[in-house]
Order: sequence, then structure tokens, then C-alpha cells
Amino acid sequence: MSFDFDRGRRSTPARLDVGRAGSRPRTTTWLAFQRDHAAARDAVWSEWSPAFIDRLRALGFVVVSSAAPNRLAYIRQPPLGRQLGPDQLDIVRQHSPRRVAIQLVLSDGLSAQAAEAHFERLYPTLRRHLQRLGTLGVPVAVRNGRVAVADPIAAAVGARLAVHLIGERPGLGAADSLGCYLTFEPGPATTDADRKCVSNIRPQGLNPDEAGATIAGIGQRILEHGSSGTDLEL
Amino acid sequence: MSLAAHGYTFGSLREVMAKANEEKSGDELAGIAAADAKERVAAKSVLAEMRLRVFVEEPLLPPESDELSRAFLAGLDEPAYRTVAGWTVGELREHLLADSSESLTRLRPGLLPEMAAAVAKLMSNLDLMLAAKKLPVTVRGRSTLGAKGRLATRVQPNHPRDGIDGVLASTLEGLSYGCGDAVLGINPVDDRIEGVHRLADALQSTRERLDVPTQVSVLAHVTTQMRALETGAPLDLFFQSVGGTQAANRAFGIDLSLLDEADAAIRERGRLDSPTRWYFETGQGSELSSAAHAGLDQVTLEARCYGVARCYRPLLVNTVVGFIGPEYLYDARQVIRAGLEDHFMGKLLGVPMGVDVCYTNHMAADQNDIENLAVLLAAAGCNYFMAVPMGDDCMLSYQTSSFHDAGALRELLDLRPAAEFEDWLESRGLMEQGRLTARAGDARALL
Repeated sequence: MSFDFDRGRRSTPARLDVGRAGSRPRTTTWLAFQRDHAAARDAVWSEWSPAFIDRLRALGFVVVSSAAPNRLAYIRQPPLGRQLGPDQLDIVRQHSPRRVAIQLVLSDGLSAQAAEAHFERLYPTLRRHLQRLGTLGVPVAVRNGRVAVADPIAAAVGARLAVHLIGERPGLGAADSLGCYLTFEPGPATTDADRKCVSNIRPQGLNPDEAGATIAGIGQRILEHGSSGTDLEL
Repeated sequence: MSLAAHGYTFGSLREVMAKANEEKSGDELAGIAAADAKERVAAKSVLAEMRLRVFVEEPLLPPESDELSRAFLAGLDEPAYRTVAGWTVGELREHLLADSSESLTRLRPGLLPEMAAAVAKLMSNLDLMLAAKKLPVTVRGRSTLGAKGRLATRVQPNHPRDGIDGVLASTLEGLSYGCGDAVLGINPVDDRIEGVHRLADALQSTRERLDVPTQVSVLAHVTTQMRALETGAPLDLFFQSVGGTQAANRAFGIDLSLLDEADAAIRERGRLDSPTRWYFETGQGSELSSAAHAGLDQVTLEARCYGVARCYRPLLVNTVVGFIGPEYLYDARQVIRAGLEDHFMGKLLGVPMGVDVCYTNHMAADQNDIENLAVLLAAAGCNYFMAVPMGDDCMLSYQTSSFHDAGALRELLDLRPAAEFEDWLESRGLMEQGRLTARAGDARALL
């Protein structure tokens, strides 16, 4: 059959055309695989550096923790990462005494490195665009947070829209990818079907410099439509 | 029925079943696991004395509230059931290890999924392998899968944007490594009719042009596949993920009447000329992940998935054993155990089991661990594994077995591809005497 294999190979990140040693991979191929897996594993167990947390505070963030006391509990017991630790919601409320329209949340998720690597490039544009859509709450950063942890935070300040940036589960191709979940009027009854997601935010995917405008654009659609569920097609 | 042993007393059969499981993070997350090793073995001891009829007389999940339970009880073969009804679970284990393949095969229609789960809890890893090996399930599409001495693979040519050129490059390279005899099966990013149709066209026309004796599947939601089939998509099989409770299936967007409807459609309009036209995927923990576990342990729920599968005479069934997450199977030890349990339970219930030996990057497992599991399963007669370039799925972001692993497992254990597919490989100069030739491993050999 006629098919341009080399063109096909170049159009996929799949590890093709790597040859073999007997039935096994060549040495360099095998080591490259292990290097990428090591990066992914390290990303999962990474935590925000004290310097990054200081920079978040300097940007005006309130930094809180989920109910997961450490990374191991976070990995093994996802429900803990979906709720805030004791008294943490009070801290959020103290900083945002008035109702707000939009609440921004940043979590480490399954790759703390992702936020540390890309968030600061994305934030100024995102903030500028979101401000046009309504009052912003004091931004909240959550250690050991999962996607749903933004729901109680946004609900506590009466936000109509939660915008949650979170480190995605690392694959071998990317260990530093951010995702963004947008949820209209989040609350205890919110499910994952009620969210819109922008994924693969990193320099080789959706560029962090452009992601802020993309996210705010979807936020605007959600606010206009009055829903972030399956009834809103993007 | 006694619910006490070694100084422990249990409140229900359901509690005994959960606590008799080998350690699984998912049972701990559900709050139903044994508190410690002594309680675990006490639960196993209680379970070993239970008669199999208890699972019919006191169903773990009442047929009044769960349509799967109704289907399982209605499908039970009376004569076969009468043979086993009075056996204890411990006696069933010994029959599985001591009796002939022929006599064990006759028991299958008399067993409920819960019985398969119960006996798995009493078996060691080697027990699970040996019993599964005695219970082969051979099925025929364009290739014959599950026959003695054969090991097949699914080429899984996923692409992060469903790019056809990239998908075909992965497919052709997989074929050149002797992979793809089970199915050319792609997980689409875009679960819409046009996307499914486009991928089915590309894979089926490639298969036809090269005259490859295998099947084509696009693993979208079954409702999408049904609509794609109506518009003429050349699908050989219907695929669907299934769960072990009615509620879990609702979370997957299916119920048995929908599967019945789909079954009629694929038998009428599917491309494959075979009585087996389904592909099902399962995996321990999926029910808990949708809060639809009904208090049952994940091994029992997994066995119930195979109960669903066998209602529809599938060509392919595989557990995606390490994909659901570390909150259900934390590390390599748990994944290896679960892979052997799943393969055994499926084979005992008569479904043609393959296994996606895999892990995500937030589990405590690596490629060495799933290579170990693949060797154990291949020795136990597993029908097929996944075959992905270097085991790295660049769309689903997890790792599984590779093109290279297929060749290595066949070489190590003296296994061959599906017979029809081996003939095809020989005709293309990619295989001789069951071994890859120098031409193999380069897609250009097929162009």
C-alpha cells in the first residue's frame, strides 16, 4: 500500500521507528523511556517550593491546605484532596469578606511542578481578562488539592464562577502540564459533568502566554449561558 | 452459615467477602477492608466453609434492586449449578486445582460471578495461574484467539488529536512487529460520530488493503458507535466499558436494554462474520470511582463485570488493571495480584480474557512490574495484551505493554501469534518458524 510512513511518524508523539535489539528495545530508547518516567514520577511527588509560595503570597494569594496531610494521603485518599483542612475555609472567608463574581483557585494537583513552571506567565493575562467579567475574589492557592476543592472555596465567597488551575497527571510526554476547570455556581451538588476543562497548558501545548485569554473566553461564555454543564457546547 | 472463625465474628456475607480480599487500597478507601492480616485470614477461613448455594439463596446484591443480579440468576444453568451447589468455596478451590480441564469447563454455566470472586480470594497467585491455564476460552473472528500456545495483541495506535497519519504509522509499525492479531483498536479523543467513522474507515481500509486477518474497533461510547454504524462506519465489533452494578453502568451511560439493542445492531450490520462481536473493558475500582459499589468489594464487582460480558458472547474482554488509579490499586504488588485475579475470574466464567498490564505515573509501579505481570499472565494462558509503541500511550498518558514486549513474551515462553495472523506474517516475510525476521519491526516492510 502507498503511505508516507515518515510523514506519519513525524505527526505523532508515539515512540515510533526506534529499532530493536532482538525482540527488545535499543539501549538509548530504553533509557529515554526511563528518563521520562522518572520525570513523571518526580512531578507526582513534587511539592511547591517555599520560594514559589512566597511569590504567590506576593501576588496576593491566600495559601491554604486540603484535608490531605501529606502527598501519600493525597494519592491514596482522593476525597481528602477535595475538601479543605480544618479552619482553612475560615481563612478564605476572612480574606474575602464581600461576595465576589469570580473566584480563582490554584492547586498543585498531581504535578506541583506544573504550576511552579507556568503559572506566573499565565496569571497577569488571565487576571486582566477575568476582571472584565466581574469582581475577582482574593485568589486562593491549595496544597494537595484536587479539582473539586475549588467548589467549597467559591461557594464560601458566593462566586458565580470558579476558575481552577491545577497540575495534571503527568504522562511520559509531559510532566508539567496545567489544566483549568471552570465551574458555574459550584456547590456540594456539583459533579465533574458540570465543569468545562482546558487542558495541556504548557509551552509545547496551549502556550501559557495565550491560555489566560482562552480561559477567560470560556468563562465569559459560561457566565452568559448560565451553565458550565453538558448543555453548553464550546 | 457460621460467620465466625479464629475469634473473629463477621456481620454478613458481604463483610466476609470484603475482608477476605488480599490488600487493595480501593477496599481501604471504601472502608470495608480487613483491619489487619489476622482478620483477613479469619475472613478467608469463614469463606472457605461457605456452600456455593449461599450466593444464589442470599444474593449479595438483591435482584429486586439490580438488573445485573437478575440477569445472572436467570442465566444460571440448573444442571451445572446442581453439581456445585453443595460444594464449599474451599472445595471449589481444590476442584479447580485437581480436576481435569474438561470437567471444569462443564461447571462454568453453573457458576455465578460471586462464586468466582469468592474462590479467587482463597487462591494464591500460582493457584490463579494454574486454574486459569486449565480454563482456556477460544474464540474466532478473522483470527482465532485464546488457543493453546498462542498469544495475541491489540495494536492500540492512539493519537492525541486522532491524527490519521499518526494513527496509521503506529498501526503499520505494530503490524510489522507481529502485533495486532487480537484487534486494531483505537481510543478516540473525539467521541463524535464523524470522528468514529473517520477512524473506522482508516483502520478498516488499511486492514483490507493489506488483507490482515484481524478486527477493527473504535472505542467510543457504544451509543456513538451505534450511530456511526447506522451511517455506514465499517466496524467489526462494538466496544463498551462495563461496571459490576446497575448503578455503575448508569454512570457509564448504559444499561442491559441498551446493550441488547446494540447487540442486535452489530449482529445485523457489523462487518465481522462471527458470532462474537463485542469488546468489553473492565477494571477493579471503577464502581467505587462512580460511588456505585453498593458496599461490595472490588474483586466481587469485577467478577460481576465478567458476568455482564458473558451475556453478550464477546470476542475480546480485558481488564485495564492498573489504569483506574492508586486509590484502588496502589502499587505493583496490588496490580499484579489484581491482574491474576481478573484473568482467572474471567476465564472461570468463560469470557475470552486479555489484560491491559499497565500503570499510571502516580502509582508505585514501573515497567519492570508490568513486564513481570505480563510473563505471569502469558504463562497462565492470557488471550492478549496491548501493544503500544514503547508501551507509552501518548493519548491516555499511561504505560502498558509494547510492540517489543509481544515479541519478547513469545520468544521467552515459546508462544506464537494467532494462527491465521502467523500465516499472514509469514506471507509478508515478517515471521519464520514463529520468530520475527530481520525485516520485522520496520513499517516500511509493509509499504
